Formats: sequence, C-alpha cells, structure tokens
Amino acid sequence: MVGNLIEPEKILASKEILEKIEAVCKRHFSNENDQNESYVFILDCLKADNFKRLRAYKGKSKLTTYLYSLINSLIVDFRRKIYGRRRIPAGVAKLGPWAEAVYRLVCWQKFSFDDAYDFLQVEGLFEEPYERYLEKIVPIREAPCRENPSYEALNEDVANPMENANRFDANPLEALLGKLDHQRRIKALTIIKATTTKLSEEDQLLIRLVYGSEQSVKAAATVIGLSASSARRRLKRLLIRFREQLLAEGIREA
Amino acid sequence: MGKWLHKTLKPTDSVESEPHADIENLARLVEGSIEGDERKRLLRHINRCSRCYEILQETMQDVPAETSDKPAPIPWYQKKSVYALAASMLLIFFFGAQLVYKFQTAPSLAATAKLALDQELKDILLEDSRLQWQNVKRIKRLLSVLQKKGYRLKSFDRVVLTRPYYQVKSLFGPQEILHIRIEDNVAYLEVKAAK
Repeated sequence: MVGNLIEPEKILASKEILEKIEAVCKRHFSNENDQNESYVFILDCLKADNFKRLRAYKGKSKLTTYLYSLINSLIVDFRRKIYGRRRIPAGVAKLGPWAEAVYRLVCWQKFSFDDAYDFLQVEGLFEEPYERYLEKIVPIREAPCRENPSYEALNEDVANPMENANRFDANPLEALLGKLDHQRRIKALTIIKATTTKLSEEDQLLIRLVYGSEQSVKAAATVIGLSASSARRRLKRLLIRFREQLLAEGIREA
Repeated sequence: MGKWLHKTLKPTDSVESEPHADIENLARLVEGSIEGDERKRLLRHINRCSRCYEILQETMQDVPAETSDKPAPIPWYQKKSVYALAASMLLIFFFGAQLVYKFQTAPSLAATAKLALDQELKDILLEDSRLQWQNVKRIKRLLSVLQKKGYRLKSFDRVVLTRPYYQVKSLFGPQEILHIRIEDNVAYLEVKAAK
C-alpha cells in the first residue's frame, strides 16, 4: 500500500520536479560545478535501490514538502561528501583543533579571519590575544583552499543599505551585536548562546529559526505549534530575557 | 542573514548515538501537522542535531507559504470576531459621539508639543515615506493618538515632516522625541533623539 502512494518514475520524469531540484541546488551552491554535481548526486540517490527514498513516503505530509525535505537532506549529504574530500591540509591540522576550525570557517564557510577569531573565543578554542592569533594564522593563510582563495567575509557586501537596515530591524539581537566592539561582542555572543540553551525546547527552536536562520515568525510558529501572534508575543518576552541577561553582564549599546 | 547569530545559534551538540529525524516527520513539522509528544521529541532532537536542523530550515525556505494547510472556512455567523465587531461599533457610537462633541466644542490651545515617540506614533510616521501628507484619515489618526495622550493641539489639515524618519530599532529601545509645531493649519513634525 505504502509503496503505491507515488510512482517514483513519474516523479523523476516530471519537468516541474526536476526544476525544483535544480533550483534547490542553485540556492545552495554558487559554483556551477557544485550545482551540477549536486544535481546529479541527488538524482542518483533518488533512483538508488529501486527508488527506496521516494518509496519511503507514507503520505503523512504533502508530497512537495516531503520532496523538499528529502532533497535538502541529500544536499547535506552531498556537502559532507565534498567537504570530506577536501581534507584539511596537514600543515593546518598539525596546529591543532583551533586551526582546523579557522580553516573550516574561512575556507569553507567564507568567514573572514577576524570573524573566525571571534568564533574561536565564543567556543573557547583559542584564548590568546588577537596579535598572537595574527602571528599564528600565517600558515593557514598560506594553505591551499579550493573553495575560495580570496577569503571573503560573509555578508559584508550588502549592496543596498536599506536592505541592511531592514535586516537589522527584524533582528534586534544581530543589530546589537553589530554595534558592539570586538570584546563586548564576544561576551554578548557567549551570553546569548548560554541563555538560549537554558530555554525550553520550543523557545530555543523559535529563537534559532527567527534570529539564527531568519525564517519568518509565521513559518517558525507553525513548526513549534503556535499561532503567529502567540509566537510574536513569546519572542518579545524572550528578547526581554536576553536583554536582562546582557544588562546584568554589563552589555549595553555604545 | 546575520552571520553572528547564524553561527552561534546553530545546534552544535553531537547526537550521533540517536538516529536522525525521519525525513517525513521533518516535512510534517514544516507543515505544522505533527503534535504532542512526537513534536516534543522531534524539537528536542533538532535543537541538538545540526544536520536535522539544517534540513528543517532549508525546507522551510523552499516550501512556499501557500502550500501550508489552511483551516476550513468558518461561516461568518460562527465567527466570534463578528460579534466583537458589532459590540465595538455600538461602543464607538455611544462613547465616540461624546468624545467628538467634547473635542469639537473645546478650544484648541497648544501650538507646540513634545512627546515620547511610541510604537503607535511610529506606525503613523512609517506608513509611507512622503514628507508631506494631506491624507485626512492619517491626519485624523495622528490627532486622535495625540488626544488620547492628553495633548490638545490646534487643528491642522496638513503635516510636514521636516526630515525623513527612519525607524531605529534597538534591543534597549532608543528614546526618541516627537516635536510638533503648528502654524497656519500645518503641523511640522520632527523626531529627535532624547538627550
């Protein structure tokens, strides 16, 4: 019965479905090679074992949503596969876990070296001064990086300032972080992270989705089983809690 | 996307000992069709599993809002809002008429005012980006908000913003003051930061 819910061959012959897969690949990868490789990888996985993944559909969700979840899970697999292929250079690995983290952040995730330093502080992986960090990352700067040798910083190039302003409007926590100096930002991030992990599971996910992933409040509310207006009220309460924690630790806007 | 929070709030715990969430359950979560303990268990897992969290948030981006389930339409006479609206209209009629009478017969006094800019006033200022407004409804709304706050101002039929207003949102709520000056039936508004 379950296997008869869909006809996998027809799904994969559908132009509309193939275009959806292509669109997801394009959204995930800027590089054309990766787009094409991921597209082929997904189609191969969907066909594998007599369409096992497609036949696993039990009809409890809408087919479109199931397909998007499935495609995105395969994209995650694909990304792990190609990042797995891109091993961290031995010269970087021998410097220790902090250096591997910097390499991952800068080379694979396109953060700047300065951003990587801040994240190391938040994660407690590197506690030496910034000047010492600059000296120690010289071998990482020189290491080969297939993905992006120019080491661009993420999100530093928003062309439209109004777009930037809107983004900050919708995300008061990010706006606050943008106004803080280096040391206070690291402290604030540590507080935000610690406060988030103490929240209930629903509140944690709401915060992660709305402020960490910038999903709409409505979509996030659906996931945690609330109405959009209840979710907005809850977010307000949570922001007050974050504010209290930050103020208690002496973090305020300059 | 905000780079700081995106990275910091992403689940980092390893739950390799647990099986990953079922793909169809993630789809159900996006649609809001999973409930009770099943949802609780799933949320707990997602808050600790970077892989499932990533699949969830990417799927949320891909699934268009219109595909989400819409509740079946309720007949209008079963909607509580219809009765609430009718009751509100009656109240507005009885009390509003008295207020309008009181306002129209009372003398307009002040020609200037300064007041803290709250969300209600911000909403009116941000309605569009024009520096001059003659929209009667909008002006009436401004007047009514000012009256509600206890300000008795001279009447005006035009509003001029002396400079454009952009909302500055802040976790700590920046204090802004709205300065109002009325001359020749024109209200000149300016928002300044509180000192």
